[in-house]
Amino acid sequence: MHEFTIMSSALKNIKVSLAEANIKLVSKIYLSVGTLSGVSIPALEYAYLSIDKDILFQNTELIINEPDIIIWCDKCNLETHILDEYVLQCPECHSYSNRIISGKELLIERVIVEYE
Amino acid sequence: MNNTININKSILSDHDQQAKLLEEEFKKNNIFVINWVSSPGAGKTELLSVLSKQLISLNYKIGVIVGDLATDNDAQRIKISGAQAYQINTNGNCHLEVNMIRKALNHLNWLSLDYLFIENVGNLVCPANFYLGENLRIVLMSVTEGEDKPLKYPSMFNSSNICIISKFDLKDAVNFNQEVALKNIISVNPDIRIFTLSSKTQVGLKEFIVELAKYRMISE
Repeated sequence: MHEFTIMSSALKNIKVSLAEANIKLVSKIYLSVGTLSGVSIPALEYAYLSIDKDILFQNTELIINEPDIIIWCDKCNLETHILDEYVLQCPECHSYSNRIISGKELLIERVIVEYE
Repeated sequence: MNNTININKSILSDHDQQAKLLEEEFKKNNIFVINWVSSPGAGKTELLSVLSKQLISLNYKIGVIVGDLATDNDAQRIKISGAQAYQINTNGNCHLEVNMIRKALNHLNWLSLDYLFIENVGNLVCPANFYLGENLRIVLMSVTEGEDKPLKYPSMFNSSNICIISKFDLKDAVNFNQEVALKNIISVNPDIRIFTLSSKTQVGLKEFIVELAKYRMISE
């Protein structure tokens, strides 16, 4: 259950990023969490409900986007969605590639805020 | 007034920044750092004991930081090899974080080390996200665990540089299918390097030490 640590870290880093602005509250948080990050989205959502939150986040909606796993295939020279959830294999030529274009994200995308 | 603020930062950016600072300190002091990960019981402590003993006989200075939920059994075992060892008890936390490593370093004479080994908490999920300033991440997979471990825990295998198939002396006793295991490892990380090794018979240990020295030379 490292999702509690990860959720706390997300809120802490958002707060730091917003420190300069004159913000009354955060209404929405958009995160991007790829399947290959090994972080469970339901566990993150549960952690979000459970942890003690700063006044900025009292009525904040959490939206977690899960990007598809896309790899770059050197042989075919193209971006491709993999078929099996974790097997990094090009569906066209069946060669393996570790050039992951998306699917590994653990990212704070953006927030919607209301100013003072 | 409603407004969007784009942040585009890693969720763990504060942790990663701290790890980056530690990485620079390791580099400045010429310390080669390995973060060892695996499920509980894959043989990390035993391998670190025999590896430390061999490296000490080659005049290297070795430090080991061990993470477990409770007990200092592993640090005690490793100290027998002659390495400095310090045990972190995470009290339930499932992975090591960079601030824990920094605190643990105060208990070691770390600036003089050639190699620092961090034995992470036995867990193939959580430690994958936490960079600790290491040069290499090595995942152990013992032959007794089944060939499909990489498919079950892909993020850990994908984030590692090296995979050691451990307890290799037991491969026949447990009908270990090496070909299938290799295919599974490669399928979740095509760039990973794979070694087979037995801490008990020490077959494969010398070859591994030679390769480790090469990684260390490249990092300098």
